[in-house]
Amino acid sequence: MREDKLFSDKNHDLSFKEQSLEALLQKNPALWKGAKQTINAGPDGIRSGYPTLDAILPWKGWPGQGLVEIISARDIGELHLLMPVLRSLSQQQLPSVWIAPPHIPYAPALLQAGIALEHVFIVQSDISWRQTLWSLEKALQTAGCPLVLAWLGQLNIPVLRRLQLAAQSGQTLGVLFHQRHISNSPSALQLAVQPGKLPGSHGSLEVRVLRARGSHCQLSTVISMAGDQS
Amino acid sequence: MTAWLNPAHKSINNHSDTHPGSHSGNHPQLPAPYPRKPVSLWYAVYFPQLTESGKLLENTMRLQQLAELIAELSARISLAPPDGIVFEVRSSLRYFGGIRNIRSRLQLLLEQQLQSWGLDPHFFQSAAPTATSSLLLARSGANLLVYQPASLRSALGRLPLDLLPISAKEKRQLRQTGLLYLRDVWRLPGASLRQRFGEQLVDYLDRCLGKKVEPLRVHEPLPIFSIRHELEYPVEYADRLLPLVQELLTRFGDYLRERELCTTHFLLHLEHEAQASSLIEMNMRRPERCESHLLMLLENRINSLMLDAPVTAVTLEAKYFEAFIAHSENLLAGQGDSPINATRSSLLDLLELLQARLGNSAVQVLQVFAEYCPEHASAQIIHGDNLHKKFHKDADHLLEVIGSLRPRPCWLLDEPESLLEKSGQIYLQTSHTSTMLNIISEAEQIETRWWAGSDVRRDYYVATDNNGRTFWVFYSLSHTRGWYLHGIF
Repeated sequence: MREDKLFSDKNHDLSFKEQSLEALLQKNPALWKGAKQTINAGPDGIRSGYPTLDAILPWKGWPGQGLVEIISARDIGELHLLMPVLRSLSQQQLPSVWIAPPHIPYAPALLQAGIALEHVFIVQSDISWRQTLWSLEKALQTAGCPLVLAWLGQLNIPVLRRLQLAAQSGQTLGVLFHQRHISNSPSALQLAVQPGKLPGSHGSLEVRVLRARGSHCQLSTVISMAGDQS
Repeated sequence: MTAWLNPAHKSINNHSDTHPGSHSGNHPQLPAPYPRKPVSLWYAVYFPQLTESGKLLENTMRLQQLAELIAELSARISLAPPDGIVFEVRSSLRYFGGIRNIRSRLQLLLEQQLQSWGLDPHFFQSAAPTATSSLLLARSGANLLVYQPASLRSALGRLPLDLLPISAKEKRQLRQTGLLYLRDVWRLPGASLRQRFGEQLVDYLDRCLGKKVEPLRVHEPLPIFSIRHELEYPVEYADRLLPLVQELLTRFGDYLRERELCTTHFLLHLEHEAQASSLIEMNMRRPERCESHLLMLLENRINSLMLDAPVTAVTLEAKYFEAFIAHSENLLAGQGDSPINATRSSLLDLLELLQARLGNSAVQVLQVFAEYCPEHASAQIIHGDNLHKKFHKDADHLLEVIGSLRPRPCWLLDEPESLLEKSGQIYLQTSHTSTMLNIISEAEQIETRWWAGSDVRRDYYVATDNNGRTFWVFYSLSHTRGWYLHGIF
């Protein structure tokens, strides 16, 4: 028995370095293997509901926590990216908070998408900019509020960094919708979203990863908005 | 001791007809069963007009309100529902400078209140060494003042037995025995009285004369917490008030802890030099007494407050309290407190915080209604208004109906926006561009609300533009004829 144990210890020693490296890569989302350019880093996130989108994201879905910036022209249906995750949250009785949405969210559409209304909370948009930011930060710090959607227009890097920290401390996912790309953003993920370009591709979105922690591949995919109804 | 040399009883109204002076000398030889020390003097007020309305609940409320007024005159008040109040005045006689002053003050207070209710401002009053007897005297309409316990028998003697709060059967029994007035009863020996008419009557009479302890329920005024702090100099910025508010809240917290209370509602008045004071109203989701939590909620409100004028004084006031019940979440952690409940409560904390700072209307929830007219099928309701709960009974059916509808847009515009129609094409116009829309769906007809006076006859279509946007548009067939944009997918 003793020999066996010694033997196995040796074996363990041999692979120790590699194992701990893998473990570190798994544990720490800030570490990734640059040379290989794989898109496999950090713990798994939240399934986006679009398999092709999951495939190009390092977390195989939305990051479990942190900021996601969705950069697109207004009103192209960018909210559909979040519909499946809103639905699965509401099935788990988990809430989402919508801060300063640009129009009135239409209740029948949410119900058609399978989102229970009692799990959706809206913070009105007619409050001041500072108060909107304050609400967003507080919501991100609240563990009981796993998803926060916010329409805030342009933000600068110090504000984004603060929001990213808030999301990390609350272990929440904050999705910011805005129109312009900010370079060197501290967010976990930046996506550029455009309407599908192919003729006859109405109802599809082209999603391109601008920046993702844990990967430097700029992959893109096309998703069908009709897919979120399934 | 000189107080006892006063005339045995005198009429409060100084009406000689209510002055039963002739009785005072009837029993000079009675051994004094009462201790020779200042006995209490109970003042009774009787409001026959209160019971005339016949509304029991309203009546009780009014009686309590009257008692609150009387609280200025006495610390021991007892309600005698439905129409009387007794209170002790011996201890406050000297303070107010005699019974007459008390009487005129009382008259002023109560008449005003009764008039404000539109009731007859007159009421009956009496004062006697025992609460029971003074109430009986007041109810008899006697308006008597009896200082000495020894003179009670004679003062009460002239009252008819009909006035006693005893059953009709007992009254009949007394009448049939030839007893009409209390003085007739006084003449009978106590033992036979007890045998013939029962314990209740004798006990009552004993309480009247002070031979037996009167069980009195002292009226406790509703607790009100109010502290006011005047500032040494006017404060212009709301956040400068925080240290003071913190101090007031600490005292409030102490007050609550001493009484094992907590509160869901309090007010902060900020007084200004020459205008009405501003008011901060705090409503909490659950009863609270921890001053640090209260401070956090209030801090958010104060920091976002714009002061119109400098503040000269601050008052913290609370009127509604609840008994404090310690949270036992940890004890029951195994059963009820699932992780979902825990996240739910941290979410509710967040919503409370947001509402405290941004105002209640800032946090809203969505509600769906069984309406065909698209803009009436959805509404945003203030979170915490429980209105939305009651629509949930037909929820399943409603869900089925909505599921069977054609896809609805994620966003609805506040108001339908009119579209430009030019040579068979529709255009969306913004300030400097116009975008052509292509209709890509069949018409969905919605005709409704003709009963509400707003005739809705619309053909809805899905339309796209060249920028990849998808819209919900309609052609109105009613008097507002034309193309409109209503939603965005």
